[in-house]
Amino acid sequence: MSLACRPSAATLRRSTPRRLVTVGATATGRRHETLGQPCQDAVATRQTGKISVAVLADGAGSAAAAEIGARVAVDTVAALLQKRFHEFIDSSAESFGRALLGNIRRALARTARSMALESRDLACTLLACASDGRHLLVTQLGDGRVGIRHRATGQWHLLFEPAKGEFANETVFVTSESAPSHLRCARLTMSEVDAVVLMSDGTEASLFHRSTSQFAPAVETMRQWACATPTVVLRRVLRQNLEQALRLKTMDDCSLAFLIDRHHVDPSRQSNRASA
Amino acid sequence: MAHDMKLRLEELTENPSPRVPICLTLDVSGSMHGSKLQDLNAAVRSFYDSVRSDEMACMSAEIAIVTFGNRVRQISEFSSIERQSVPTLECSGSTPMGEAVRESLAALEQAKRVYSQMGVDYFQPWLVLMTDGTPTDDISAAVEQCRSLVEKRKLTVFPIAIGQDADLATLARFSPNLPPLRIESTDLKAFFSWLSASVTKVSVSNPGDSSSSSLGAMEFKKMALDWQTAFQQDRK
Repeated sequence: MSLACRPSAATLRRSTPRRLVTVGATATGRRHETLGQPCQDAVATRQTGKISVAVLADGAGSAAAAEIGARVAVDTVAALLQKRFHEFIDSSAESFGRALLGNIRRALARTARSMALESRDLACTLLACASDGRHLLVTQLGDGRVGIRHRATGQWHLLFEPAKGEFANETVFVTSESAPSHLRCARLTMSEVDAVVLMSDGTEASLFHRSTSQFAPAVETMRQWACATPTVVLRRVLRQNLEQALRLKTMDDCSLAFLIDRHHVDPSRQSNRASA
Repeated sequence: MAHDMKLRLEELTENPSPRVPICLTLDVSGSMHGSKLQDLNAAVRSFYDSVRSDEMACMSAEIAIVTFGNRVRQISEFSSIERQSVPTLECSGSTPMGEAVRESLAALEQAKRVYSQMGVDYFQPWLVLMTDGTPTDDISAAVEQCRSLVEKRKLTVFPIAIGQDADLATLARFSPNLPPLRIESTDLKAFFSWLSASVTKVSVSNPGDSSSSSLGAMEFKKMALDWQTAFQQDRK
């Protein structure tokens, strides 16, 4: 399990809580739409209490009840991160990974039993982030991309290299035997990072340029929208853009989630979005 | 949509489609002369047409052709199918199957290297091996290479015996997980129609733990069973 960036106590004492927003959306891919099948991506965002959470899961195409697995996974992880965030910030990466995978697997097993299925029938990937305004916890298992925006430079960077096999349709799932060794997690601070984006591999097709490891300008555009738009409107806007733009670039389901510090947007840094 | 919150095309990025590399390794020995070769040529042309007519398959499939007869020749290289012209096969000579399979595997490995260098994803390669007879060279090294790759799930071999004289036992040596399928040359078009449909399925397949990379193999097994049954019924 890989771990990045443990902030110093002094850094954390100096930082102040931020005003955070979490938002996400999904869109059914063209392949599933043609076959009359449900979207297998799921997103959960929570902002109750002091902990803000965004979680995304992409159900395994080979799994019989992938859409249910993804839904159970995001709801389980969202609740877990809200409840035990401060414990996870102080715990070891291994301990966090055990708790995370253990909770997901137990939840999937319960659901599978109730449906007379196996846990692998509910397999999915997982991307998640949570923050109390000071500390930031980010984790990924499987494909898709997690990006963080450096507060100082305004630049987006890829946080983890996703776990992938040699071939295009191979990855690791929460139910895979090798999941513990492929789980990535990082503990950062909101003084270093002011936004996180989670995207499934379907969305990645149009929002992440693989050969240069660069996020598309659209990611920053959406972050700026989030800083100036009520969440309920933003959710609708994200869904519409997924449906009308992003999913046209792939046959796959598309999903996207953000955790953003809604600080003042510097006009000189805004992208030029004069009306066409 | 809410005013002005609509992403523009230039704000998005483009990534190349993951490739499905397929090598057709085809017997063009003297015994293929006549209607068998005509049927094979027609079937290969229809395969290219079918792949081109499907949006996803067209963007993903890359097809190379290695023939074996008088000598082993790679008559078509891996590249975008939209830029390829379909070669016409000509037959003569013996059946150097071992050398042809080795050259096909080398071509597939080279294709994967190029994809990796260019940052292009790819699916598990396929080798479609078709013969109407028995090899006239030493196939042991080729068999060893194939079996090793198949057992590591790095390759799927589709062994096709054309007509009654093709040696099934030899073909079976190349493919530890898929039994050879014996068909008449008149059925080649139907086989290639199934192959192009399988390319589409793979090119839009979602990640699996490992089962997706064997999608073609599972479908081939099912088809082999269906065809064996149909063939036996036809002969009654």
